[in-house]
Amino acid sequence: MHGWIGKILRVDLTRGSYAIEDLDPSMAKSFIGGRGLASKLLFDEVDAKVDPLSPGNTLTFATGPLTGSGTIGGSRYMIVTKSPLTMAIACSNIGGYFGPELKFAGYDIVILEGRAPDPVYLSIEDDHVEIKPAEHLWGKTTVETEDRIRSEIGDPRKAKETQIATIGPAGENLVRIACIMHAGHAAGRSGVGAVMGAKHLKAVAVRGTKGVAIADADSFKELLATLSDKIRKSPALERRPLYGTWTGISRANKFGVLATRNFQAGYLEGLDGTEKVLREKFFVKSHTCFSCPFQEFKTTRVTDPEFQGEGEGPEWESFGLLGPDCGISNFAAIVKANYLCNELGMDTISAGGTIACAMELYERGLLPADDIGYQLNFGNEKAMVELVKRLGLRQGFGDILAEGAYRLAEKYGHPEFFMGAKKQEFPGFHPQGFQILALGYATSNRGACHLKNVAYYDETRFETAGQAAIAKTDQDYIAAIDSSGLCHAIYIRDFFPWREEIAPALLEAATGAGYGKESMLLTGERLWNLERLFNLKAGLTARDDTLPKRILEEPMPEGPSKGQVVRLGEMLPEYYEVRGWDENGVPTAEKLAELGLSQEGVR
Amino acid sequence: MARIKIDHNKCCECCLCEIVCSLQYNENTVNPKKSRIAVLFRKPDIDIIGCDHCGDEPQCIKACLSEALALAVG
Repeated sequence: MHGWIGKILRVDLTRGSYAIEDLDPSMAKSFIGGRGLASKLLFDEVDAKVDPLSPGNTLTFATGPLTGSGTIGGSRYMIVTKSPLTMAIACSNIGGYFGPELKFAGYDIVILEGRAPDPVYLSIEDDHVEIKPAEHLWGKTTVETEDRIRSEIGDPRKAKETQIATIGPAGENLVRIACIMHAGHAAGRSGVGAVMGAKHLKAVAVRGTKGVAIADADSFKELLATLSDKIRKSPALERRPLYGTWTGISRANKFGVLATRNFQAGYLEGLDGTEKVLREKFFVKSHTCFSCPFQEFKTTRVTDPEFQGEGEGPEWESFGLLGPDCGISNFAAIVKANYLCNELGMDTISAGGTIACAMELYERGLLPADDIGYQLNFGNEKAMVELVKRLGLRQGFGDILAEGAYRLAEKYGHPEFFMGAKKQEFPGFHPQGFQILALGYATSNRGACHLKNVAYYDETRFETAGQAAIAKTDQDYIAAIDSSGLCHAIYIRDFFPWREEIAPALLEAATGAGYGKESMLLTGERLWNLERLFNLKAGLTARDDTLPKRILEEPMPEGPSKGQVVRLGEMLPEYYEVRGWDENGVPTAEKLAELGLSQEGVR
Repeated sequence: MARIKIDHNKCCECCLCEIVCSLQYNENTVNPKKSRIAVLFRKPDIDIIGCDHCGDEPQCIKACLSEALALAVG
């Protein structure tokens, strides 16, 4: 095959065995790869009602045909499983070098099944696959684990070329917001790290010496040259190595859409030029992903003795949730909390959102200080940093926080103070400032997510008319991008207007499988509906396509989005209609037939 | 003798040079480990067996968006 390798590595952790299977070309064509193919495998092989932390759940690392293909931004892969946070389908996207390396080793996909009797890690070097003991790695941070595995490889060149994805103590402790880390990158959301921990799988290490064959190399090279030219002329090539995603913070604040005090507001004083302060006071160096010149990622250092350390990030969403959403504007504390999340291996967004929820419950007198061990007012940066640590280790009150904000708020009798959708915490954008994104939060198959449709910073942001159709198209397009192995930063963001032309062309040149713009979109729609079918089988209903009462009823109190509520009722029925779903949000038989999902639709 | 020089302060290790090199000379297959240029391993200069600098127009230099590569004579 071209683009695809054509191989699936299936590992049975219970038995300590593995098998290499051929990838079915027609299934590959219909679901592309990554999020699509992995979701199809989950749908076919796993009971949707499975306990996510039981051996019956699978954890799939899936590349797409453009992962490692050499196209700019073709570094991504997806981790797909049933989420222990949302109890819905999860897909967590991650960059770096691991995905391409997996392809170079000769596999499109790794499916991890069962549960190892004792901690293990999976080592893949081309055809040599080994399940190795990991007792000595259990309890180690994500950074220590990568270092340790590398130090055990004799040849320094091989050690450097080996790419590692690992969980930290949070994943081992089955923290519901645990993530999987690789070289400072995170498959952050929906608790995929807890599923890995439940399988007693500490890490996957991979090195490969093979390649990715390109179907039409001449067209592919031409497309790469075109892409390079456009990028060379783009102001982003200068800005991103400087600030990465940090510019998102002051921009969100300027528009009054920045998560603030558990989404009680959308604006916090004193955040103008945040990116410049972060660059000046914390920046050490930039780094990047395979086949990407943008160098979005920032290594930073905190010298403030109270919060000192060195590590990666934060990205803007992490900053938003650990900072303003907790009422905190001390940058050193925010950066430190981000390091702790990375080291312990948990989602910065959900960690911040959960602590912010605890802060609101505390301030409202619904959560006693005795339970927490602190006075937990908004803005208490010391308590926030300490609670991040306890959350990851399930120590003291951290054991309750480790269940995520929804279960925390429910435990204290006030689920209405959980700010998220489908039990997953909101990311950094306040939904009251973007009607279309709010619709996306409510309908995202993996719970609240800013990466499933596009937030447009323009005059349409307070409009509801016509937004359903735009959200649908964006969701379908993104589903196809997530399946291809491409990066949102290049193929989604609105300042690359040429994105929708070049992505299908690249996919076609790499695979030769007959993709065009329309068929790529249709494939994305097929995936969106398949995810929906999985969730319906798991027991979710249209009642889960909703947002917290505050977001729907209490107007934004101040700032540039003042007075806004989310008018979900004006958009959701129209959304179901444009999706070809009935009034209960169930895909109609006609729609499923159109998408080739009639078989999957049988309930 | 001409050499391809790499400025490690500018190189971001995105491997685009290795990608185009392998695609050019490795049977239409992207494989950084078969590239004639290798950026991940710091050598003072890139000096690779089998590299003829694509005639006089090295594809790796063209592909580099970080301006980290240059052809140096002597």
